[in-house]
Amino acid sequence: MTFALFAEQLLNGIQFGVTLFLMASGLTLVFGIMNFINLAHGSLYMAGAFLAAAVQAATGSFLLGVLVAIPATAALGAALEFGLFRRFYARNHLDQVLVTFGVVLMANEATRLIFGPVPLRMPLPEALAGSIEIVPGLVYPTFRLVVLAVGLAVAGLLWLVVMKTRLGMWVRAGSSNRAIASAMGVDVGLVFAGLFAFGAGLAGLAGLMAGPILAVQVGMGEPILILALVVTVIGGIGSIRGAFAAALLVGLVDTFGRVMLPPALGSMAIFLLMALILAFKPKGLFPVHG
Amino acid sequence: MAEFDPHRPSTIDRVAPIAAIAILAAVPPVAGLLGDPFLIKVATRVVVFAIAAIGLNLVVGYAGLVSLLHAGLFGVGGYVVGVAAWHEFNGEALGLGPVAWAGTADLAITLPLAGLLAGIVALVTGVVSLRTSGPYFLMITLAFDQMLYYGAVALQKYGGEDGLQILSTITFAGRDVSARTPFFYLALTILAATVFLLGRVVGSRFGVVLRAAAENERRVTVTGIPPYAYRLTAFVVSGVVCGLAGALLASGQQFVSPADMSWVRSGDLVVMAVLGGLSTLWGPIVGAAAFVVLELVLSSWTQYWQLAFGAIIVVVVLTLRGGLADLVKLATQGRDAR
Amino acid sequence: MTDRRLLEVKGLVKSFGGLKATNDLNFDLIEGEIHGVIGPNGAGKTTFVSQLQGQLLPDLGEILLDGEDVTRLPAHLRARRGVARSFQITSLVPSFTALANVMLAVQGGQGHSFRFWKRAWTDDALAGPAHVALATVGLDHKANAVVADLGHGECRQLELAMALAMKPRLLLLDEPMAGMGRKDGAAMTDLVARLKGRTSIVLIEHDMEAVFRLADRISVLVAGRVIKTGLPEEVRADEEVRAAYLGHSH
Repeated sequence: MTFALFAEQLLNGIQFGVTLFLMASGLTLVFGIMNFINLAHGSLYMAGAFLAAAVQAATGSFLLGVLVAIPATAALGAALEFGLFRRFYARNHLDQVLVTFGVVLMANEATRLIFGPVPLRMPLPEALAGSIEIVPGLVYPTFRLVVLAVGLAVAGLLWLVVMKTRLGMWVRAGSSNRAIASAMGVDVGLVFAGLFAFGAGLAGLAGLMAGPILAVQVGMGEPILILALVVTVIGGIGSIRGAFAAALLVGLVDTFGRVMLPPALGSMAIFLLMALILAFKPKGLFPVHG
Repeated sequence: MAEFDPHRPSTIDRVAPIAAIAILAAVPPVAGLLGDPFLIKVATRVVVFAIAAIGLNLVVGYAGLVSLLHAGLFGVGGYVVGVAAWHEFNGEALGLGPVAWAGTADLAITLPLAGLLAGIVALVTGVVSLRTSGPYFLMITLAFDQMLYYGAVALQKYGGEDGLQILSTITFAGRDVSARTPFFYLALTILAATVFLLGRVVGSRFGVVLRAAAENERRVTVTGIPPYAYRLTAFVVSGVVCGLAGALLASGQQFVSPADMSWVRSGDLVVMAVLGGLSTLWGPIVGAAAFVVLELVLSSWTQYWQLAFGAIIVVVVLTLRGGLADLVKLATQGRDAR
Repeated sequence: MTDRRLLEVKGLVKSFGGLKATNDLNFDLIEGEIHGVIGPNGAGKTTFVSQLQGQLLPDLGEILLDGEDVTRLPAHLRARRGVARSFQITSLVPSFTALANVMLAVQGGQGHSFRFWKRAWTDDALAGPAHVALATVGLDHKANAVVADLGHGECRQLELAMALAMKPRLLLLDEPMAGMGRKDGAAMTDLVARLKGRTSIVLIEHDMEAVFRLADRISVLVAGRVIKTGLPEEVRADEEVRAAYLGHSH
């Protein structure tokens, strides 16, 4: 493997990793604090991509698509939380799986009904469409660099919020001890809805950033949902720090696995990694709940 | 969950599985009278999914462990039949290390093999998955399912993503069972045997441990019984049963594909096991029948049938805690209770 | 009563983070006695019992059961050696009937449960001893009631029946009278009194009157350490104990 190829795959792996982190951070917070397993998180990712593609197709502006899709996906998440999911926080995990599974089926079919079976295109604006020569011999697509930068920026921001603010303190308390969280005198219902919407917005962001790289199509949310679940489990459910470390690990192993291993093993590498980690650390790398 | 006494099954729990199997057994003659052989196809699908759902219910309903792996195990069984038949049909021996096997389309050989291989996969994945619990277990089994799915996609020789046609004539101990009716009765016999055998298992000391550990793990441990080995055994048994069901589905539709192993199919199986009613043997039969009929009816109305199906799942989970079995129980107990 | 030591605990230490919940704890139990353990809230009584039973493993020290080192033995293997426990917070199988709960305990006492064929509910080897245990605690009339329909006092009795059904050599009772009214509490005290001599008991209890009535010996636990062991009257008279505990809290 040449240096240029190695460096390119390294960047690809990190870029995929931060995308996974955007997905996994929402999942892990919602699970850690509300004790809720959301299989429909991948549908929000898909919603972000479709909303951005549709707005772009209607207006011709990529930027407008981005600006509309993120809050719209967040609003969709809030609506789901308020209308349906909050009734399930106290139910068992089986009921949560069933209801979110039902939502996944509905979301996929509704999307097919509205947008049709043909994948949508998300052409990039000129400024983002090209490539940059980072160092001599290493040419890398501009948009992927943007994705990487946005992902890292969001991760940094999230870290600041979680570690340095009052809200973050509550979130940390909430994910390690729910009783303390509700005793801290916060409007729990409102914070839950806000948190869910926030996670949905991040999933939407991840989806619309994947749009120009992959195809915008029905079912696009499921492979990434499963990888995000793997990230959540490896990192330790409820741990933002764990999610970040695991997301990078999974992104890199998946990317290099596909390049260096035979195809069958390459796509399975990540699951073998997970099995190996959990065999030794059943609660993930950064366990939160005692 | 509804209250139940593991030591005293209700009359309906004893009679309902027998009734369900009797009703299914009557389908071929009725289809003959109505001149509608398609009914037999439908009933076969119900039977096959009922076997899988009963197997899964041992883990989900009795042991309280939500597994999303089982479509993968189902698919393992299907691929055993598909691959064995492919080698038989193409006259190309399958090399297994030093041994070469000509392959076969005889279910008397491939069914046990399917159960065995699915059981081994369940054992290996179960050893890791069962070290965890709750949401971790759920997500790990989901990931393992995805792994098996990718494994099947990678089988380029056997059709890869497009799946594998079974072109040989399916036999059982040398007899041709590829026609609708004999195949249906073969599948029904396996369903009846599964119901009978698992009926004994869930009523045994082993079954009591499974149910008790689902509700209070600590209590069972303190009683001197470590739940892990019991759960692993249940996981393997349910894997074997799902493998058999998958082998039957592949034989019946003469086709097996990775799509049968996707996590959505795992979700479907959980829905069948649960919506029919947890912790009963007949609930999954009702659930499988409801699923197949809904699939049929809804998809004849609209190509977007999964929209309605998803909505039905959501509504049922919101309103009926014990699944369809609750409806039946409410109807039958309506007079004496409450 | 012989003077054979059924249980010996030496230098037991268990920390949670920086807090030493058990701090160099020494304890012994003579076969056949009821040994009361008292102490203020947070003294580490439940942590101590959990280590005897095997749910928690100590950081340091050793636990000898009948002279055999069981310090690192997992809970289910200690149960096989005859250690049974009733929990401070009721721990039952909620959807099972009272009888089914006790049958589970009987089953646990009869070796492994890898028996797939014979129906458990018609197995007299389970039902027989279960009925006996229920009758011992006076709960036989509620045998077919589901746990969810039992009162608090009845659940405590059921806990005890489950522990007895395992035919324990060592019974760990963690606040058996907790949350009971005066009448139920008195009935439970009588019940424990009737067990005297049939098995050896470590009794943790807040109800001083009951402990002083039931126990052959009493140990006082303060800050994870036994500060005094002796006959009830010795403990009652001890200045240090009064200062540390009795004088203040009651």
